[in-house]
Amino acid sequence: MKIPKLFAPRESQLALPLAIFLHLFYVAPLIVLLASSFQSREGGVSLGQYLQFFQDAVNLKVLADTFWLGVQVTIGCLILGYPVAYLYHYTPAKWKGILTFLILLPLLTSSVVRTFGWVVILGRQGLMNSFLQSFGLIEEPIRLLFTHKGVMIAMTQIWLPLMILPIIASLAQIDPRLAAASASLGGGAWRTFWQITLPLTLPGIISGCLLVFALTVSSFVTPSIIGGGQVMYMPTLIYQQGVVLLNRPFAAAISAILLVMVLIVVFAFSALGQRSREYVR
Amino acid sequence: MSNHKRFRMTRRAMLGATLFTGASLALKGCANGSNTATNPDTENSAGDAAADSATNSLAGGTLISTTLPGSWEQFNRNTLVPKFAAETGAEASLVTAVSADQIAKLQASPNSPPFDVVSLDSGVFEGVPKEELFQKLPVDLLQNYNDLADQFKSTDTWGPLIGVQAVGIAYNPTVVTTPPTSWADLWNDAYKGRVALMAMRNNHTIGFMQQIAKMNGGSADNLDPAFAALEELVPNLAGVVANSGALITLFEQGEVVIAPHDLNSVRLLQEKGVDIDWVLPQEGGFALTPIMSIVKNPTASVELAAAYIDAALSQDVQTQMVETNYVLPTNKNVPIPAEIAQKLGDDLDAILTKLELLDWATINQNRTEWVEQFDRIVQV
Repeated sequence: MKIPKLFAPRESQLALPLAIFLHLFYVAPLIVLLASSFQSREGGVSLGQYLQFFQDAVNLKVLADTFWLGVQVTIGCLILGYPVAYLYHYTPAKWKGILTFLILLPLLTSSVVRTFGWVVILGRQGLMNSFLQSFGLIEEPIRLLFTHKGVMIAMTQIWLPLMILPIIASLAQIDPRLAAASASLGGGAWRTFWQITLPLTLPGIISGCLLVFALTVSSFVTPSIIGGGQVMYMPTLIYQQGVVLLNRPFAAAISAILLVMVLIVVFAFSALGQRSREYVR
Repeated sequence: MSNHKRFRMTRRAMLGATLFTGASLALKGCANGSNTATNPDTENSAGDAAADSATNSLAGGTLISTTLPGSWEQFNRNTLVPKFAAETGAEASLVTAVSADQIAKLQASPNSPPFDVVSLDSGVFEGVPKEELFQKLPVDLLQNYNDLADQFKSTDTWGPLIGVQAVGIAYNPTVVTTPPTSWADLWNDAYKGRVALMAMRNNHTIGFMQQIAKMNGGSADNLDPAFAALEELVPNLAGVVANSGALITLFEQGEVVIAPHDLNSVRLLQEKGVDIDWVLPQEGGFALTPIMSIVKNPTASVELAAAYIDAALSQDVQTQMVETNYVLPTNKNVPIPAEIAQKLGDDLDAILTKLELLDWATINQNRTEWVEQFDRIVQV
């Protein structure tokens, strides 16, 4: 009697193919990764790899730099991305197509190509320095390539579309009558923005921030080319330990630490998201 | 009602955006996949190889070999694979990967390896558990093995060195008007902020640190004097770059004017019109040596794999390698072309005395520690 019930269509079953796929190709490897991070040099189970990571000041600096880079790029994307999303929302429909294309354009080129583009722009004889020098704003070229600042600038450009898109989606959900109501009650443009529009787009902002943060701290190509060997981030460290030095358990431990960092930020943001949704209602 | 309408709008917008992003990612994937075959020469030679193998498909078979990227890939596709096809009637396909990735892929499935022959840097090769992944070279199956220069011959070997890349000092002759003569010239105050090194995980820098250690009283397993010298080099560094490709971009941009690099990369840049020259320092340089080896449990027969390696050692393939890629030969019958002779002399044995073959066994014992120490010193 229960068997036909098992095969009765249920919404949850629609997700089954994806669930199987993810368990096979994502959850299982992740478990292997976590297990190998607890492997000691001699083959037993230990916390040695983690101790080794946290005892070395250089590794701690790499962890802090990675977190800080994530925060900076997220804030940078938010500051640059929100006005673009806002502009998009109030653009006449016929221009929206062109604007969509322009926003998505960076996603259409490979990040390797864009990174080498940034090498040309950030170099001492690059676009940025020669521009500033020709206007007499600086005398000596500023050092941007192989610095944390340079990586931050390039990453902000690269992940910007992923901040803009969710904000556009949440702007589209706002009932336009709310702004009219605010105006009719005497609210100015700024007040309407701060008290109505911004809080209502918080879910979009939060998902944009999550995407940008998670992608920034796990980027490999851009930080390793623009940062070089002098500013290290977690993914470069993982590659170096895992692929070059064949120190797999240690690389697994670093990956696990990076994962935990991302998860903490994700949970913090989703808690914030819950709150903001309550506010919206 | 308006609620309902709004929901539909968003869903449609979401769907559109997802489709657009998906399509763009797919397009990008296609572009990446196809750009390996954009060189018309490459396509022609692949076509020839296919035609050859079609005519003698009875004698044939298929072999999968790795190749290092860049000029190595072009050379292997245009010269080595057609030669192998002509000799054996078999087909060879190439998988492009850097040395460390080749090892990573082999270690991921040692029982059904994704390729039959690997071609990678010996520094990386020496660092892996060879018994688990490779098999000894069946020297008797190789006709060209006896043509190798004496120092490259051995009856008990995992594989032959297929070329010698000479590493010395690359510099921009417009800025560096007096050609450097010694490794010590990198410390010259005149080049403050204009020197580059690759990160220590690159074998170029491992070799460089070995040379500096030896100049300052260290040895193959004692790099302490080199690390002390590195601390003094830091103010001169424009940057520590990820890999040799990034170093090339910096030379093209005029960002860097002097750096340790190999002759073959420099010659290729010169051909492209980049303002760059190369010199062997008076203390001598060092050699980076690509090696070929047959994997354990290959899908193709060992005979076929041996024939592929044999073709790579043959006089005409190596002559081509020297002329187009400026990688020095290991086959003693290959003449040294004038452009290289002018830098290094025309006698292979004499050249090899000036290039140190690195002691990878010692290096690999210390590699992790050295990489960490290097990173600690150069971190800003």
